[in-house]
Amino acid sequence: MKRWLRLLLVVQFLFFAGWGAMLLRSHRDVHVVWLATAPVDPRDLLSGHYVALRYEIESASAAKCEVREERRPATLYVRVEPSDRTVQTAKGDVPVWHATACREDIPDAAPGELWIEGRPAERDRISYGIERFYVAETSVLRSARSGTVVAKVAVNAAFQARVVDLVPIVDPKR
Amino acid sequence: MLELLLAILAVGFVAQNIMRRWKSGVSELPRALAGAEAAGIITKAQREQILAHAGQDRRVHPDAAAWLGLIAGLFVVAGASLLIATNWESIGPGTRIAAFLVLLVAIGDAAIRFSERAVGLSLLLEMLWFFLPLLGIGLYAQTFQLSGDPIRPWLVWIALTAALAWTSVRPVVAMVHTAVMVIVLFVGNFVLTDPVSVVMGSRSASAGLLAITGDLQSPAAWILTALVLGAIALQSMRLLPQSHRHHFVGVWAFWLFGVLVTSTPLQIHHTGWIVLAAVAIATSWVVVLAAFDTSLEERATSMVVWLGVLYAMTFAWHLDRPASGEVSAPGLAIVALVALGAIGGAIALPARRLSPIANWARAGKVLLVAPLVLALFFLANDVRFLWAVGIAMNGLLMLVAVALMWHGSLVHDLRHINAGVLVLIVVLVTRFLDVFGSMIQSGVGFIVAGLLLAGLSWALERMRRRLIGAQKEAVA
Repeated sequence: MKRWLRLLLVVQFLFFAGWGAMLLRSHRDVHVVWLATAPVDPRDLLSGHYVALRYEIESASAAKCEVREERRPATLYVRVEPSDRTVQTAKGDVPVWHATACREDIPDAAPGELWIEGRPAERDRISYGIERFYVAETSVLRSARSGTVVAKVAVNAAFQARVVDLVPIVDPKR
Repeated sequence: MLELLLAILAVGFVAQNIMRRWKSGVSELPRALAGAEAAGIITKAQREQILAHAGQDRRVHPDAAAWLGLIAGLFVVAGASLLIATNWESIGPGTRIAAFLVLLVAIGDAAIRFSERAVGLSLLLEMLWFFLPLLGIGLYAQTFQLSGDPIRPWLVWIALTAALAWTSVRPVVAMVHTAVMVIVLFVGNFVLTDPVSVVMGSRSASAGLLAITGDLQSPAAWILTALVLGAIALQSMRLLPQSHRHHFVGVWAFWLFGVLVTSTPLQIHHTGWIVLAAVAIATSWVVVLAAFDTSLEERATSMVVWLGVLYAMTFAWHLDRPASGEVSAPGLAIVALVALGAIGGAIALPARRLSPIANWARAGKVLLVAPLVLALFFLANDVRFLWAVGIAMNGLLMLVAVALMWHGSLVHDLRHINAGVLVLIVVLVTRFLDVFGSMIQSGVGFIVAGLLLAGLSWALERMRRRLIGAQKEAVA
């Protein structure tokens, strides 16, 4: 019995060590984009120590995705490009990226082209797996709200996105 | 950072001393019991029962020095926790991962070492080890800002700890693991991402790998759901204590009903078919458990649900329109199959499973089939049929209550008598409030209603005592 338990411990160790190593490397030295956030329903904020985020690019129609009700793809790929819009943040002006194309199969990205993997969610939404930003108790971002921040998002070669920073917009009306 | 490392070293030193002290005083009971089981002296169930008993009774009497050591250890742990909390932002991802891996190995190794020695300590360590992968997944999600599938982390946790549930010498880990699987299954299948939107009338769906509700379902979600349902059954049958091994039938019953009434391709909207589905599933649950001759605890749950469904049908006389709504073809087929299975199962059930008296066993079968036949009237397009069913169900439920009491007095089973009295009280009080509820609006009516209720309870208690007395006399 002990042999099996030791094997289990080894499996768990390898799983967490491997996953940790992959996470440490997967978004190192990759492209970074700035995404505008949209106001989010306050009830998401009840969930605790994270900022619930919604993005302008998560609207399937805004991303030009034609998702049919009767045949929903498991995965979608959305191309993002810098728009003409910039927002003023404490870290200076940053260009906001927007969605320009959408496809269901894996894109053959041209140099400089950025695609983000997502999956269809309810009601015309696309979920990119970047809808939460965990904040420590002492962080100034604890009071941040979606719509008043821009998200700095790293996108790796596998088209996976990860939020690396949230930056408050100095003048949200702009 | 240096103070943090010193604190962790201090915790390790204190923990090692406490472990050594504890280790020297632990009993060799589990090892001796394992040997006795291997030699065929005791059974596996007996070994588990003795271990559980020893775990409950075990008392540790550390001396003054040990207490001081324990308090000192707590201070150091509290200080280390504070240091970690205040420096959390400055602890890099690599350090967090390394610290978690060290903790995982330390707890896992300690759990393995103590698994056959100290009962109380090993259970604590096993539970810590069981929850540690979940902590790790949460830590990684927080550190690397991972959000996405809400169910996947739970499924990964279940998969990573399944072996622990199967290899633990005590059933506690298996019980918790099975309960977690049930919760994850129901949350993943049926809990909607946006329940408020459902109230507002808009479309919503469950989310994640187990999403079978709403528009986002996929074949993979159904396959995964079937695997989890199978794992729940297998684990229940193999790992849970003898008297709880068939609870999975109830889990399956509730799941099937959930699939039929939520927004899946099998959904039925017709209230009549929903009632028939509820009666058919509850009856099947009772029949299956009776067929397996299961424990009282297991059968009690199914009986309560079956009686609850019958009780709900007694309110049919309040309906003002016939049942209506759409029914999906697969949903209809499933309800029909389950209803036929319930009727066939009840008829084919060996008589001894229901009662040692042949005539009473036949009566039991009739009482199991009758609600199913009555539920068919819910499909009629005339509200008067529903009123008739409501009245008939009142009579049937009272018949069930009387039968339980009578049968209890014949086979000398006090539990049957008490259950029958309880059912009778619930039905009579409900109908009493139905009929005389309007009287309670005036002061005199309140008094009259109270007196009638007191008379009813006196008569029922007198009947219960007489039945129990008759049973005791028969036994003497």
